[in-house]
Amino acid sequence: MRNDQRHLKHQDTKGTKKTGHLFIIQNSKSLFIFLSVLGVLVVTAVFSSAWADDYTIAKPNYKWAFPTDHGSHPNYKTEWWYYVGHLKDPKGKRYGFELSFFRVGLNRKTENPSSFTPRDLYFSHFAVSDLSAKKFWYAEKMNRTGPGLAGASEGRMNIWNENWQAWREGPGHHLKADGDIYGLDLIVQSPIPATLEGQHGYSRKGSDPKNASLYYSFPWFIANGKLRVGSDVKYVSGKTWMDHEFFSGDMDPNELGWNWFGLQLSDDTELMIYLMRQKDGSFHPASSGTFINKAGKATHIYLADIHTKVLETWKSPKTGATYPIHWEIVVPSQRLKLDVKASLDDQELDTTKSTQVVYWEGAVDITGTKAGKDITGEGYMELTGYDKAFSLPKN
Amino acid sequence: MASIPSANNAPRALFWRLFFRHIQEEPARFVLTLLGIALGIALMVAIRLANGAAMVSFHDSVDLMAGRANLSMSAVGAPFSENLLKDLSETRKQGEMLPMVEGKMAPQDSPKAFLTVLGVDLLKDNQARDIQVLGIQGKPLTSNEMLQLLPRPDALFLSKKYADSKGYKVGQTIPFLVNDHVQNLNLAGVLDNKGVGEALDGTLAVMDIAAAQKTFNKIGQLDCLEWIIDSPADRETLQAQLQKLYPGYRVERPSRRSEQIEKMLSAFRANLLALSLVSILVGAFLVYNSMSIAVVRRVEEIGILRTLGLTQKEVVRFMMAESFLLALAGVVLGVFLGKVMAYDVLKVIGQTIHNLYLPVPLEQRIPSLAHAGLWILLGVLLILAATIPPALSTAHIEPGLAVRKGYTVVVFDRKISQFTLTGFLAWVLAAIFSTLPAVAGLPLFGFASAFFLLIGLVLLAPFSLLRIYGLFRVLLKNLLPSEGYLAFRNLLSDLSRSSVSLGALVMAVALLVSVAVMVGSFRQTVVTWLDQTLRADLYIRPATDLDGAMSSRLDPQTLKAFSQIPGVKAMEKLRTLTMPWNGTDLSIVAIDMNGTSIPGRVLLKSGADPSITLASMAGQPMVLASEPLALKHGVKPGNWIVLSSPSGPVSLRVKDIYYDYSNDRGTLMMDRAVYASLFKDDAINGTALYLQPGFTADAVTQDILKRLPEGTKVLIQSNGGLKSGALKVFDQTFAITYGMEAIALLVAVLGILTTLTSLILERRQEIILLRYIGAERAKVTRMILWEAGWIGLLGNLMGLAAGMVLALLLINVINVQSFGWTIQWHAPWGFLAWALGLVFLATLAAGFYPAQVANNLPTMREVTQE
Repeated sequence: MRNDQRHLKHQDTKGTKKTGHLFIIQNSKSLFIFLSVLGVLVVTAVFSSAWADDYTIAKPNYKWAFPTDHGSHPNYKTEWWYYVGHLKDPKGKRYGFELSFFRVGLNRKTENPSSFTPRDLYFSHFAVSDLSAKKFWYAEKMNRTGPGLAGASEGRMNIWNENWQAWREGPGHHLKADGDIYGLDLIVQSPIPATLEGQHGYSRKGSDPKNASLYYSFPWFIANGKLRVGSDVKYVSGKTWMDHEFFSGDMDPNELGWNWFGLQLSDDTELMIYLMRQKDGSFHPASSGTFINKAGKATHIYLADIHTKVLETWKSPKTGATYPIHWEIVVPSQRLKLDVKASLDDQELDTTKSTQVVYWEGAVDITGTKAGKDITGEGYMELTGYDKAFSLPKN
Repeated sequence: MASIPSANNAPRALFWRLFFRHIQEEPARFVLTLLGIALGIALMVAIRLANGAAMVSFHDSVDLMAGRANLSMSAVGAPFSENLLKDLSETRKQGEMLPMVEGKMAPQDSPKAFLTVLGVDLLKDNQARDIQVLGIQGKPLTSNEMLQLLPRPDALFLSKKYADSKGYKVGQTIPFLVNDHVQNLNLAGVLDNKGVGEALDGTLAVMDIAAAQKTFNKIGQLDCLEWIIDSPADRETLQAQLQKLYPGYRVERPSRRSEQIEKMLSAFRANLLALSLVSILVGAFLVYNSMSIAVVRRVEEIGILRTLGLTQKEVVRFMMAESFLLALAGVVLGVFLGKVMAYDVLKVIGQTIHNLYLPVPLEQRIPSLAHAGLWILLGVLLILAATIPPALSTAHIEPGLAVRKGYTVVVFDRKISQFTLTGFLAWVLAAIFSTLPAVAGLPLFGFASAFFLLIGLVLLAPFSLLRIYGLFRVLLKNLLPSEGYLAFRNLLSDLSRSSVSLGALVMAVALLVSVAVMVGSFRQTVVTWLDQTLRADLYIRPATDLDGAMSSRLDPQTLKAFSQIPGVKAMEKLRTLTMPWNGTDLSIVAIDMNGTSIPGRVLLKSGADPSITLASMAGQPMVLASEPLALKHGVKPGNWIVLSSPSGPVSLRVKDIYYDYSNDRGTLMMDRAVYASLFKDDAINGTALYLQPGFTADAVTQDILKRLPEGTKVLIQSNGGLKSGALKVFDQTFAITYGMEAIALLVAVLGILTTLTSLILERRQEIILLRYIGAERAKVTRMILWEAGWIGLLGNLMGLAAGMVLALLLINVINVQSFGWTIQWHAPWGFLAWALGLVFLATLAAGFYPAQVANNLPTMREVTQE
């Protein structure tokens, strides 16, 4: 079976950090030239103004309407739906997962009646962090709309890439993805309404007001379903975080990438933080966060209110990138002092041979205090732009 | 027998000294023998390598085109709906599924430079195929550049080789002929010289599937689905499932294509190889002849060697070693020559394969000699075997007698009657083999029959010479000048050599005659067939159909334009395609049978009136089976043929068998309306127009060109133009056979040259005596030319007779078993007269050198002074 590229990393149990590839891309000779762009796009096309003129720019005071806004926004160049979360099987084995769907507008003006005309490109990443087995695995898909290849419905939540799919079902979302080793079939439901991030869902990423996205989350999805590990199907449950963002704007020329945290605390509150990383090592002032209380009420947090310290880094033997995988995060206004540590060092997705993007996205464990009292939690962390500085394509 | 002590090294040193002295004494014989062997071997090696190259090239292209895809599904003839991609999405669990659209096109300004275009999902296709795109100045395109090109509906990627050969630059817009119209495409990048960039000798182009669907007017359609499935068990399961669910589709491993092609070409290749074997046989005779002469000439020397103490065995070994050295030198030279010749042979047979079997170009790359290894070995064995009898004959030389003058050795140590008997036996075998059926589609017994026919012919040469002399002695003596008569007697006096020489010539002439008669008959048959079946005035095909593969379509708009042309009495529409049947491929020809058909459109084997037969087939599930199909698969009128259609198996009754020389794999002809409804395919590949009286083909052609829709390009051929085009292809196909005959003849003439020279040297005393008793040099020359002339004449006559018999065998056994055609006998006398006259002149010319040798012999006075 080879639906997609497979990567499986294994960390041995003696604690020495060692990465071995059990499965490598079978035809490494073949460069997926075309695919290759896409990864860059995930992170950079977003920020490239190349075709932005044809697209709507994210602006403040966007009129949100749910459930319509769960669907696709083809007038915006880039859009993604991200599901990350922690799952546990009845035996107590822990798993992290990432299932992300991306849509990138390519050229909406092309005149060709062919259904294969690549007006939008869809790609998707599916990763499982098998925390008990200390294995990290991921797969990816890349498609155009085509006849039934990939797509996202407008006006309702339904996005698919071949047989990977996320759609609204009853009061929640249904996620399905299948790879050669791992498969996921999950129903997620949120006890709280969607959280609009930034200022009423308008999330600034840089100095220009155009460097912004429209962004909402479901930070507290309760997940129940099945996880397939090889031929073994396990019933799993846990918490899931969902992000949906869409935008057409540029990346700030001074920025290299970002650190993103989606932290689910044991008192059923959540904290989202994104830090836009600038070339000089500082974070762009537009970086911010959101605190969501148990009732779902969101509080915007400015950068000045976020104090971070890197406690530990990990150098990827494969790409040479050094990632900060252990953080101290302090948010005085919420009286939070958190120790955020990667559940597994190596949760790096390296798709240089295909989507050409290298990023770290993985499960983290949280300990710390809230108002002086011990608190724990689980979360996901995304670290981008560590393998190299992005150079924007000149068109 | 006392041998010299420490003789271990002595004989070896002696051998080498003698060997070089022999070469010095008779450089001409050595060189000619060497050349003869070399040419024979070279021809076979070249044929074998070129054959191999054609297959290797095709295998490679199939591999490069399929890449890692190991299961493919395509509909028969017509493309299928792209919705199948959706319907089969569950198969992605077994492995990646990739869609494909295919097309053919050629640049407008060089319509013969055909391209096969693969329209693939460029986002994912590199999982299967190795596609490397270079941009301006040969730099690999960046991902961003690629992504920007992707949505362009006119973006085309040509192989670097092709783009360079045409001088196209990246970014250039090029007008292409696509089906029956012109389409501008933009050279978005070139494919690097690897992967698909190398396939089909650079004539494979790539487009994104969206652009390809638009360019080839296949919106919503696919030609092929491919899977990459790692587990063989999964692949077989899926293959079986798909075959069951989609009976009208071809579900196979891509590698199966090359197996099919190999099967299709096997008879053609076997015939070429068999023909090349004849040149080895002629070469073997030359060696036998040459070594026999050496033995005769060295009787004295061998006698001396024996008296000096060499054993019988040692003498035989000397002779054997010399023969082997000569043979091996010839083989080495031949292999080298063959490798060089292979390029030219490949060009010629590549053209034939292209014309008859595969409308794709083949790369001009010759495989390693290992491909010809087995055949080289066979050639070496044949040639070495030919050296053994002469070497063994040295054993019979009596040491005491040999040193005396006038002793002769009998190389031919069996009685002539034994040869004659064996010869007749060989002919009996030839006759029996000619009645046996083909083995695995190859006329192996037919080849054996031809072999024994030729062997018998050679064995009967001495008998024939004697019989002819016996019959015409009185006549010869009285009618001819004395030299002429003497010359004939000279040949008889040394039958052992003259008959071998004659045998080789007879064999070469027989080959020439038989192939000429076969090709001539075939050509005449095709001419008659074309005259009788091509009755329309104009034939129109899409402009891209230059390869004759009939894979391009005519647009309905274009067809409409034709029907409105004044002067058109009737229009016949044609649909042709290839379809799998019984594990092989056959051609389908669907024509309109509803009353508009012109009488004589087909020639039926039963002799029935074709217009009545065709009319009775209109609207009926009936077919006419072509003769090759009938012969190869035992199809008879009344049989049912089951084909897979998109809606399941369909049974068609065979109404009659018809003559068809357009291909040898077999064709079914049926009513187009029946085909269209059964196979849901109403595409048209060509039309034939019948004109009203008073309208000329030229005028109507001009009119059509004027009225064609803008941008439409079609090929319009007049009746005569189409026929001459077909015959041109025919002649190209058989060009190689003439080349092969020429080489066999050259080897035979070399044989005559050596034989005569040796005969002269052998009879030096006699000639010196002749001169002494008053014969002028001119008279001696004439006598020797007479000898050459006799061999030439008898060789021609016997070869002609044998060639006719061989031609019968080729036409009625080997051709029928290999290709399945009925060929009407037609001897091309003009060509034969011309060719045999040339052979005769060549043999006469071969007499001049020996004559000169004779005249340069010392005079009697000089001899006495010795």
